[in-house]
Amino acid sequence: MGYMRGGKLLRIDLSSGAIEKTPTSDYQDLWLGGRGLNARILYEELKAGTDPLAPENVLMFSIGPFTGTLVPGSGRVEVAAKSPASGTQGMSNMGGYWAPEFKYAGYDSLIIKGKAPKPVYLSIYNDRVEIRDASHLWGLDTWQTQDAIRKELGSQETSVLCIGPAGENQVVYASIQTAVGNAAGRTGMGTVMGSKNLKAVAVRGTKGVAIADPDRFLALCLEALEAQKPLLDMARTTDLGDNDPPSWASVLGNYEATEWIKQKEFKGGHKPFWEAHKNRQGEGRTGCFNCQVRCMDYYNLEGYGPLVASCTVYGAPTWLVKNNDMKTWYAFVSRCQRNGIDAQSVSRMIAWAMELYEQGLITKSDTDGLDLTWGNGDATIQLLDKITKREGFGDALASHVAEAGKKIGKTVDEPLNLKGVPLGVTNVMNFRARTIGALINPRGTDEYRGRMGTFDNLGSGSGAGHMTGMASPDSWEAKTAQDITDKAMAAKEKAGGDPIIGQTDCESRGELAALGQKLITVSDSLGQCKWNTIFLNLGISIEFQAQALSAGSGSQTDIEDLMEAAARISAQERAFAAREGFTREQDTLPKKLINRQMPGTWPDDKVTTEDLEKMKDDYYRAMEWDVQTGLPAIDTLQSLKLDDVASDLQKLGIVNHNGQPRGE
Amino acid sequence: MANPGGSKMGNVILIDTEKCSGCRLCEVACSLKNMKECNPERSRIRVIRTQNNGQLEFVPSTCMQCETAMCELVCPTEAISRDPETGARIISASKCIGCSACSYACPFGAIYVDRKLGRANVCNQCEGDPLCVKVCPSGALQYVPHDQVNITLRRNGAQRIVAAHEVTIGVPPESNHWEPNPEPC
Repeated sequence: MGYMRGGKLLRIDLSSGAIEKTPTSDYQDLWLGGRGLNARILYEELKAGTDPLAPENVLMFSIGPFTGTLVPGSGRVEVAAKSPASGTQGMSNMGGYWAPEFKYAGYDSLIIKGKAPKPVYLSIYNDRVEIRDASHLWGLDTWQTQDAIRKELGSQETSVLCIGPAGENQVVYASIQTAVGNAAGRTGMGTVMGSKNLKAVAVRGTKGVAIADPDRFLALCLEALEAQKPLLDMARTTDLGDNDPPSWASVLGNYEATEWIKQKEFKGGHKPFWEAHKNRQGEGRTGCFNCQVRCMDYYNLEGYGPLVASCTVYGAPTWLVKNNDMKTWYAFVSRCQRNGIDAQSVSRMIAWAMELYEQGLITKSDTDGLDLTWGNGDATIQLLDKITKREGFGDALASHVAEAGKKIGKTVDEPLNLKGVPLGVTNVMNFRARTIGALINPRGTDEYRGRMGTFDNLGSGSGAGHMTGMASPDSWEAKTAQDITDKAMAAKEKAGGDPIIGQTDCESRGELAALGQKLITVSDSLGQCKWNTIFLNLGISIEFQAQALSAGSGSQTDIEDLMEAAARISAQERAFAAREGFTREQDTLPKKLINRQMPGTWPDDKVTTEDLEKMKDDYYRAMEWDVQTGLPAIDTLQSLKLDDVASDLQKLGIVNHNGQPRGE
Repeated sequence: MANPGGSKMGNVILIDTEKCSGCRLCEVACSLKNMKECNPERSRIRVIRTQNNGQLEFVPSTCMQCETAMCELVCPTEAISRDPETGARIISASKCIGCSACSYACPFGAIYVDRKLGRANVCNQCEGDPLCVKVCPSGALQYVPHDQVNITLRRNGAQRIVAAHEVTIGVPPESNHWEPNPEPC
């Protein structure tokens, strides 16, 4: 066992029942951990063109060197497999308490192949690994499953991740859940788990994590925790007086939230919802392992049972489906958690059906008699249950976005999606930094892997040093971002224009997205919650990450090393996508959102194709990828020590050398 | 002796279970500081977490600094004594035989035998500056002089009564007034 590592990769073949352990050291130097391990091992062990729901798909759960340590926000696990929604690498990052337990059991990655002949679950207790029968658990919801397994194993300390009925029923966007409210929600990872007949993974570990220089590591972590304290309210999106999700989303230009607030015919707008919400019977806050942010609200509403809610679930079953009713929201979210279904995806699918219904394109004869008028809470809940069970009209909505219309026998636009994954609740327009983040997110879904929240407003001239109020201006991240922006502003001025780069301008956004994407990759790979970082101005910087990794592992790592690893991991993920046929063409917005003016904070603004293509050019260039194809260039792959990937892609004829015409 | 000199000294780590959000920062910090590794199993404070059909309970558990300390009374080698400065229990490394008698006797199970050390391990309040209290983000842990324990508990109890009263009478309608926040967060 090396410092900061569990030490082993745990490999399970569910078809044969074979259990194998191989050393993490085969991978850790180049790939950091977490997302890096997933990117490399999926590329090596998953053939291009594999059916995501076939036994050949590989489902991975990886943690990083920080997992289970005192680094703030060290409770996360990165899940990956080929996604049934996107057709390329699916990925989702989940908090809770599972990840540290897995580390303490002595592992860094769980690699699952094959398909069990009947429902099973894995039980891991340090070195002891068992594949156990789960026939009696099949059909249970995710809370019942966790309780039943803990009881069966006789250990309340065991941490369980599992799927619910939606994963069993192969809803395309099923989630994996752990604890209460922690989910690997996006990209259908629960669907893949269900396709393998794998109900749950239970883990208990008692080995701890060795630290090379415990005193220095402790001092660094205490300093980081202290520096975070004045910033913690940033994450309190839900209970800061007047600061409620619909109003901040609206201020940030989220057109759906704005529409929802403004259109009084929807039972009087959002106020009834929010007033009920402000008086909610929330019992307090909770969060994940080793995190002082505690970004989730914990409820126990009489007659409705418990619920843990973080910020995005406040948006999905409210403004996407134009629901104002607190009790509908509550029932919706707790059902999603118990049944293991991604609240954002399913809200987007229901919103699509409601829009078709309002437009008269579908009627009650299509919807099994459901009245899908905007905001009909009872129908929303009934439809959610039908989707979970893939019953009648629900079966169509449980399908891939490209299939849903066909299944109801109508020629209609697809539900809004990015790379096949239903679009999330956040706004991907107006703020061009978010737009480009959404375009280049390797998993589709949203902008969360291609953008730093604190960079959104750079260059707009408001606030000290051109930064938004959110940024930490002395950080390496902020200085690097500022430098990029300053150059773009100077170039703008030199060309005779106004140097200000407003939120709807495209200058510098591509380069900033490349920086943001790498910083996020560093966090996802080290096992650090990215919400704790400058992503949300919660203080944890890459400088701290480099210092903590050096002190903890006993091997000097600096910021440049982390950024290089992130560039390697990004290129590796992109190579996986390239092998599945993805190029710059798929880095786009839904057609309906291009050239669309939205009744938000900037009603005159619209995102044009030129905007998209310009920002993409800048992004690929900043990543040192080929601008024509949007794929990593051979020279770049080689300089990142990915010669094998370069030669693979060369054989397939899908990459160029640098120095080719690059669209200048 | 269970209570040397009537204990005129000492602080206590006071636990307010209702405030605990279950993050376990205390466990990781304690083990890192005192055992030089990140390992909740070797932490002197634990958070007992229960999940029952989605309902969560968190109860921090550590040495309560008993006046009549069962651990001390049952120890066959008289390895446990009290630090005159802090009031915390100290275990003599040379005397302790790691028999677990203390662990069985403690009403809270707050002392344990560490198999790596080969002897009992218990909270020593980090010699008067307990790290668990410092890192606790929720206020569930407080370090208070022993003569403040009871009034603090009574005050916590009183606050619960006031809160229950507020729920009963309801919140005045003015406090529901809502205006959009003019600044983006």
